Amino acid sequence: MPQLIIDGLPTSVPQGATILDAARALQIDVPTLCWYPKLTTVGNCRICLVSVEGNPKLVPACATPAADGMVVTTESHAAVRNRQGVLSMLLERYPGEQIPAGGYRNEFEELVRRYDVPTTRSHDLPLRMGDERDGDPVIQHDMSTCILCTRCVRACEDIQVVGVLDVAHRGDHAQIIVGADGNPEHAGCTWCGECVRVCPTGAIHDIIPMALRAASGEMVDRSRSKDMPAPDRTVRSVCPYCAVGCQLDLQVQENKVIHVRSPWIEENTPNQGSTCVKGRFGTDFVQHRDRLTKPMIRRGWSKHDGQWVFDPATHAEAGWGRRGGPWDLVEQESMGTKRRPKTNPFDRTQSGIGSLGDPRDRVATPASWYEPFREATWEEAMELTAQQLVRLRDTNGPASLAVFQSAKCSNEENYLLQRMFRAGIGSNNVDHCTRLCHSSSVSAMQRAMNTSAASGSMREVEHEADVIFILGANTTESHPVFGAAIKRAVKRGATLIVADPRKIELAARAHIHLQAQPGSDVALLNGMLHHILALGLEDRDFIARRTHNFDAVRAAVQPYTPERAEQISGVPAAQIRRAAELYAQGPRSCTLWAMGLTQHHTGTDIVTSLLNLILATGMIGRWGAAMIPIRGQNNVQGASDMGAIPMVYTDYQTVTDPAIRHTFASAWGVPDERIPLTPGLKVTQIVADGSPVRGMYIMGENPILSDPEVSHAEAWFRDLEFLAVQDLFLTETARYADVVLPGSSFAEKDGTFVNTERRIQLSRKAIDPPGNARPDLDIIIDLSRRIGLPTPFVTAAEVMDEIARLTPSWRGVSHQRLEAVAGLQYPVPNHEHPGTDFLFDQAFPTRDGMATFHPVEFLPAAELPDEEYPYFLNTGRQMYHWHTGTMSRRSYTLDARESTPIVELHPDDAVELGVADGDPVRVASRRGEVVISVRISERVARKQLFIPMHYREAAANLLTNKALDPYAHIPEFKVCAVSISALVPARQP
Amino acid sequence: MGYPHKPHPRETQVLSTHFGTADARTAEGWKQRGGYKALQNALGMDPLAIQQVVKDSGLRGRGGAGFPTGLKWSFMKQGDGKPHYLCCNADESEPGTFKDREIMRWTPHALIEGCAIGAYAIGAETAYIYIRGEFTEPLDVMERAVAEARAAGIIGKNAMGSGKTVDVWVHKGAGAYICGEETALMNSLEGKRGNPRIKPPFPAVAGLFGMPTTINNVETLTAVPHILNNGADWYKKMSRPDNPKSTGTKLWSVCGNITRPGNYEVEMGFPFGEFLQDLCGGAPNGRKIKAVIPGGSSVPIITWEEAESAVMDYEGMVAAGTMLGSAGCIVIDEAQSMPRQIARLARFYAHESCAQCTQCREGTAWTTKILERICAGDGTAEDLDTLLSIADNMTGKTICVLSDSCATPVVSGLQRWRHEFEALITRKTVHAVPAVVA
Repeated sequence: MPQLIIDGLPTSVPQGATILDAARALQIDVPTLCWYPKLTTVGNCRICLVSVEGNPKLVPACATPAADGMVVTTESHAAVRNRQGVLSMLLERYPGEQIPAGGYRNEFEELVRRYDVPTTRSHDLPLRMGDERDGDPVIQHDMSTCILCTRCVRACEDIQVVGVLDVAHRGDHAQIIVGADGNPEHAGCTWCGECVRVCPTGAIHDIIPMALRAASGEMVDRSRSKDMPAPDRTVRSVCPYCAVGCQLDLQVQENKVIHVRSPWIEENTPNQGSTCVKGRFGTDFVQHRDRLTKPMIRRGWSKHDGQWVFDPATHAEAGWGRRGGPWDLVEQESMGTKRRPKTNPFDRTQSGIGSLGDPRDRVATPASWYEPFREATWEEAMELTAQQLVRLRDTNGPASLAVFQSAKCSNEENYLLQRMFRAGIGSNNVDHCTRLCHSSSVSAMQRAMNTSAASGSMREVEHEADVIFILGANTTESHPVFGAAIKRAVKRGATLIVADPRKIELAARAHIHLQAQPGSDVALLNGMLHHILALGLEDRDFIARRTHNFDAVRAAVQPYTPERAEQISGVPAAQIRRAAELYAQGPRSCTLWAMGLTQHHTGTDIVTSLLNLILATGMIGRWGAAMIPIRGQNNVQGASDMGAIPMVYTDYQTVTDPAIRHTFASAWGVPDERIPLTPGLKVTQIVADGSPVRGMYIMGENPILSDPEVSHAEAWFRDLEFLAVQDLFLTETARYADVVLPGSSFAEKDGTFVNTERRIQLSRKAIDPPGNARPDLDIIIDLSRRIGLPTPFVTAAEVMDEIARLTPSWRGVSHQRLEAVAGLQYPVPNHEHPGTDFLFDQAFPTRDGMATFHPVEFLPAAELPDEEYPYFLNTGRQMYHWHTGTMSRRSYTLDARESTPIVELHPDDAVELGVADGDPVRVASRRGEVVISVRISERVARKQLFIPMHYREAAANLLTNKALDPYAHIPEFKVCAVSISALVPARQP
Repeated sequence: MGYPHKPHPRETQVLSTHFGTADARTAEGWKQRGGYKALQNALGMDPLAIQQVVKDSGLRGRGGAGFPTGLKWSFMKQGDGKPHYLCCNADESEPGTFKDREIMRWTPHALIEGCAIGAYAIGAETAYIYIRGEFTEPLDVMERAVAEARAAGIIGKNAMGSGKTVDVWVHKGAGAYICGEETALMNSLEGKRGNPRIKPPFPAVAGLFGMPTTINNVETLTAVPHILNNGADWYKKMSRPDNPKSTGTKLWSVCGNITRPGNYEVEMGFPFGEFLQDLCGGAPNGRKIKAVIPGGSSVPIITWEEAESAVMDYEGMVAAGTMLGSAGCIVIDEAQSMPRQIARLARFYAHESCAQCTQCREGTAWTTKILERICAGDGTAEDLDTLLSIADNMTGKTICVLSDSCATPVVSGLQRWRHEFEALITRKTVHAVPAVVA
């Protein structure tokens, strides 16, 4: 521990710390420009030079290790003179005349003021130049204010591991360039905005507020794009997109979110200050004009003698079918030819804001969609909803009602809604979209080790793991901030093994890419385990001490030699062997997976075979050996934790246990018998022929697009007796509602979300909901009371207190605590407990503390390609969009990046079909067909197609197969057989 | 003087003996001239013993800094289990310097031998010769010679049958002055942009590919076989009796306004005035020498009076107010405009700045702009003070010394010929003879 004196203050610092580190620890502000936490130190701005006694030259504080006995003066005469010299030299090529008199606009100008440097320049040298981003609707450059600190270059390379930016040329011609040809698209830019965040002068800045202002008809001058409105206040929030749970700072002015900023990089947040394009630029949907601002009631509902009744005649008169409207069904809409997608949406021939047109018109709700509704008062809407729910409960029984809760809504809202349904209606028909994503992981993990969440933390993967095994997870697109952390881990030296049928970005960076045939994972994983056992690489001690039933699995994997696995999966046996050895030898291997494993009719089996691999090698229960099913939605973990699933209350306490029921029933003030002891129906059982459900309440979900076989789902929902939808927009599902209740977005309410590493985080209200829209919690409380359930809450904090009382592993959670910390990773058994960053170091939460192996056999996908339908279809997500597009397609930036549905097609198949990039094709399965544009891509293997799920005008789920996993009832979104045919005359290859 | 001229009798030829002899370029020809004996012996010696001989000889780095070579080698921690590297800096780009070029053109095997011995002495199995991109002919010669040496088993896995691995590779630079700076050279060799690195860590700790590395100049390494063959004492004797700190012979490149430009090899301590007048023939056309830049463009410019009494070794040049540097001697006669010469030098540095450090990137360009303005007759009275103030900002504050190198001619020139600058600003004529337009 070197001991030194800085500005007269003695201090000691860890070996290897720099003078700057030591000064920062003492709260001494040494000015820096090129230095930035966590970026490579380059020491090039030379402004942090300080005097060290006995050293004739000034030394850079950022790059000089603190040494024992050093006496440092940070503001010595020489140091200050040097700083003034540096600043005056930078000002020589900086538009200093724009610096506000006596003030400053950015970090650099702040230093100019601090060191009192004259801002007049001699004009001997021209202002600096660099690549501009003409026509880019998000990120703009004003390189006249660039000071070449190269923070942006390093942020892109070191943090995001993309490498779009670099310094070109030398001497005074040096400048920041964007890729080799100035085109961010060609350079692999992901519009994450990391460069915007680190820029100390605003030379790289974003123009979202500008774009918003332009969209609202204001005149904005692009050359003054840095003249942003000043925010009134900043509110810490949590990103509403994926389950990484990035914390965001919303900057608010006049009840509008005008900017999203990320927290300081050194703060303890899951994102460490980063965001992806969706978090930073994709939350403008909050202000989209499509937001519902008043409750709506389907025309035909009217009140007679105090009772609401529906007169179908009004619809018949208008020529609409039952629950219909003047719109196309999703199926019909999917048949139209799509406009050809541009390879580069930011065509450089267009430039300036607004070249893309008014973003609000691009994917707005069509005006006709509102026609079947009339605006209503809250009183009317709530009364009607309560009346219908009660009527169905009393006449058809509680089982005739079901609720879809929302993984986009907070824990408090989800808790209250399932409380309302269980205690108020008396039905366990409570489920949400986890059914469609990780339900098979949960059923497999519950069976093997009685757990439903990740065992470890994301930072383990980044900093500790020796081997990272990722299966069926396109992390760099679906969870970009976590994806970047994985790329940093690989840069650090971790070994990356990727199992994915597509050559995704991580596959390209992987040491081994296991490109298996869709749905063959059990064979692949059993093959790996076979090889591990053959070499004796299993963790015998772990197996003996912590598990049961290993022999059954040993016997089961016996036939799965790597050669047999190769036959089934198409992955060369040598690769399977190598991957198995690397994984088993760790010493610390992290295992990550997502929808690629779960969305199969054998999803539970597939995850089980992976869990067998984890348990056999003991790659769990140690820091650095994490098991992480990467959750999708920002609160899918929390919604499940809150009991928004049919078989459990909060904390996965089973509904079948009378004692547990008693605890909840008495807490909720209802008789025990009100709540059934049998699990309710799951999403895929509710939306099924012969389902008893006649009425539904849906909060923030869009099942018509997200369920398999859209046309079936659409017909089923139209057939309901009553449907109430609580949402931000008039979604494809809300079109069929009787009552539409305008809810609130993440920015408009307080509440907590749980990210993929069990971290409970507080998201705070920044603005008021638009118009008459109400906070979701408010709506649920009101409705609960109207159906007769005592609901004595006003704020989310009060709801959390009840949750904590009833949820053992959340007992120490309160809003008050969450205000103070960056989040709590449950279990948090008491108010002093700091949270749990990894689980299972001693025991599993089973009765005897042991995990159990379950042998599994390979079963092929439910539908395989044949002569008629010769292609595999895979569905999934794109970086720029989110699920059914309700939010992301109403974002200016995100829609600008990807505005049209596409199907990824291998170039060789394209030649065979005679289609070129952008050509329309017809993709058909046994269940439906869509017309869609081709994107030729080597990411997909031959005879495999990929269609993103976000677009209603080419809904992937018209094609998908609703074959269900027998345990979790998750549909097989990832595999079905399709045909593809050109719609234009074949081109000559 | 070297090829194509005959050597001057007062020269001491060690390195330049075979300049102009085509036969010496081949491995066989080199062996006939006593080549590779030193390597053969060295491979049988303890590396530390080789280091000791070099230390005893007093050999100092010939690239410019003059750091004792044996001492530098001793910084390489033997037996640390890491691969060590030797880099031969053949990126000879200092204006006025062209001695390494001639060594490589005529005696490529001398350099290979020096590299192999140096590598062996520091525990390296690999030496890289980094040649500047513009040196097309030396590059050809070196590549041929290395291939020949490898084919002959002189270098490679079993160098000269010793059972030891010493390999030499030639790497071509892409034409940037800054890549002659040792850490930029390593970056360039690694395939990165040739930006100097911040030190620490020093190359002997973490250099090329993060491994312990020594960087030596061509001339330094070429001298090593001679020292091993003839002994440290032989080398040490070639020095002033009163200054044992500078030893051996030194190649001087002389150019500019001089009657016989070229490379000269003299012992350390040779009188500079006599050297310029007698060996090099003084200024041409009967004009007088006005100024001399003795050690490549980065050292202070001195007047003829200062040069005349100077002694040609490291200490002698410092005593004369300048430095020996790379011994690339640029002679400027009385017909030249000093501001114009200095502006030309500044333009060079502005063009070659890697642009990392603020002071260098902005300072070199700003200095050039002002100097060129003065030369064009548009200077102002404040310009000279601005120049000095910029030069002050540029000195001793950057990662490498390119910035200082640009400030040096400005400061030394303004100290000695301020009147010439002032005359240009006030549009007066000061030249005894009409200034030659460059």
